[in-house]
Amino acid sequence: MDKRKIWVVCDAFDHVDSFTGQLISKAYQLSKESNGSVQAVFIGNASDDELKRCALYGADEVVYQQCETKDEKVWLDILSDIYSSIGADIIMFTNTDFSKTLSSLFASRFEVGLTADCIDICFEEENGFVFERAAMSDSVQARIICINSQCCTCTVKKNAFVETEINAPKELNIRKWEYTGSFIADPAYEIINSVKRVCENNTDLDNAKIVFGVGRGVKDRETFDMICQAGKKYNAVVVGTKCVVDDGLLPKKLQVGQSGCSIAPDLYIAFGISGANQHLVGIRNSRQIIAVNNNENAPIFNIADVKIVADVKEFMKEFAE
Amino acid sequence: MIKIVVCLKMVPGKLINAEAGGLIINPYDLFVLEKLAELKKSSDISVIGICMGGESARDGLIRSKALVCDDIYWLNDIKFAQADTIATTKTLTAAIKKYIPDADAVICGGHAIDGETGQVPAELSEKLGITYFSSVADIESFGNDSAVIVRRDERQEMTVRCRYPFLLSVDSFLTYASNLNVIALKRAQKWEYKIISAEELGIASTDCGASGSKTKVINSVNIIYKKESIEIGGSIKEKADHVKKLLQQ
Ligand SMILES: Cc1cc2nc3c(=O)[nH]c(=O)nc-3n(C[C@H](O)[C@H](O)[C@H](O)COP(=O)(O)OP(=O)(O)OC[C@H]3O[C@@H](n4cnc5c(N)ncnc54)[C@H](O)[C@@H]3O)c2cc1C
Repeated sequence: MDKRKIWVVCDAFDHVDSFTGQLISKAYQLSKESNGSVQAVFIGNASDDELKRCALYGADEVVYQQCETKDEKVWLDILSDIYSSIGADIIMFTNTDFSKTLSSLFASRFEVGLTADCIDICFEEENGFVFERAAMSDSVQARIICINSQCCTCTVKKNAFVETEINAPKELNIRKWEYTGSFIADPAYEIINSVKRVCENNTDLDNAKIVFGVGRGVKDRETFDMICQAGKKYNAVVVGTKCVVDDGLLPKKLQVGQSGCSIAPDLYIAFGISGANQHLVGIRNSRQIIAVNNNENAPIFNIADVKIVADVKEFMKEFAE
Repeated sequence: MIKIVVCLKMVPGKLINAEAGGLIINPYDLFVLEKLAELKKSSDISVIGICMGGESARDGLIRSKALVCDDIYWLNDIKFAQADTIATTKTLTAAIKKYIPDADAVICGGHAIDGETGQVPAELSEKLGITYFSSVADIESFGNDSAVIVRRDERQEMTVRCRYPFLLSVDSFLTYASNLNVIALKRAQKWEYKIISAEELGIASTDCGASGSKTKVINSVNIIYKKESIEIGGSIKEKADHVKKLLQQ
């Protein structure tokens, strides 16, 4: 039987970033489980040396299409061209805004199954590729398969997989694609005004060693400020649950969980967080978890290494001393 | 008159308020409705709601009607149930093509707070073959051949004039209940909601609902493994000191 084709769509345009590395690493692992081969589909503008880095994570081949623009519609046409010609069994996209749009357009065009924001993928003889993501409003993960679908597609959450360099990289084949369609983006709009947004919050969450998580149990500004102060002192990044972000206490990019980001610090301290599954999936790779909650039965304690039953405000007053 | 289609989804109220029962208008969709209600005062637009959902969607539809909708198409058939994003997209596409083929704009909330996939807007734009604008933060005005919108991502905020027809995915939301005019609400309650079945829509059952879906949930698992935790007792001070010590390591 032909090898299963496992695609990773690289979207960093001019280099292989760590998010792409995570996807290729996972694809490599899947290729071993499913007798497959890993193809990195690279659209953009990168040197051969840069493309060869895909092999470090286990890619067998790079399909490269030189392209000067980063436009979803143009990429969709290029991707469609490659897909129609060589086919794929599974296509993995990152879940950046760009790739979320690209993957949705693609899935709609070919009417194939698409699972959003996966946190795990596995291969099983009876089910084929199985995608895991948070179930709608449950305390469990849903396992999803594609049916009546020519290929399976998914977007993957950042940091769901670990970027791993393989021991003996294979000889990488770079296949230069020659797309003959148009590279011009549809000018159906005109920019009237554009303002750069200053990122007040330039925190490097991906590499943070210590992270403090704030939940709805943090009830007043004073307690929140004490946590931020302590965060500064210990060099910790302060993040929040969805509820806290929806309340406007923290920006969306500091939301951790299913619909936010995933983190893997050495130490995570959860302040007043109940421990809903949608939050836990984002912190489960933390090396050590300390939870402070006034309800001794809070689910967060099930995955905590250190359990502290206390009122957050009282606790912070002492902690800030 | 500019024709605007708004896609409406009803989601469990308890996602916003732990005590709430029943279904409510998805907060992102509600933002769109309120925005259109405001713009309608000064521009010549007609707003057509389209919603795929069962009987429990009625209350949300009444509110949508009272707020701003001139007309509503309610795709209500058990055959539509359990649709994934592809089946949903095909069903909505069929309805828009059949009933509102001359729509100038289609507007969707960026995602629904129950599924959180955010895939339908882009998928729908592809099936309808119209330009797609994501990350829309605001809608400023509707002109004769184009509209002015604000797009916002992490790096920049852009005010853009876009030509009809297009589809917008709006990423702003409101979580408070809107102030509804009581008379409008009463009128909306009496209005006759057109219920459209799969047969009437002319969509094959293999194109909608569970049978039209390309994904399927096979089961659910718990992937969070319980850990043995150490409970720190003593006074608050002792507890705080313990954590401080761990942090210093
Ligand atoms: C599709 C979907 C996606 C979601 N995505 C995410 C996501 O990405 N991230 C996320 O976090 N959530 C997400 N959620 C929401 C999630 O289900 C929970 O609602 C949320 O995580 C709960 O946040 P919380 O722990 O801050 O609040 P709550 O559940 O309200 O918990 C507050 C906790 O604080 C404790 N507490 C109260 N007072 C005190 C006090 N004085 N001292 C100490 N402790 C106190 C309480 O005992 C309780 O355990 C999602 C939900 C859905 C449906």
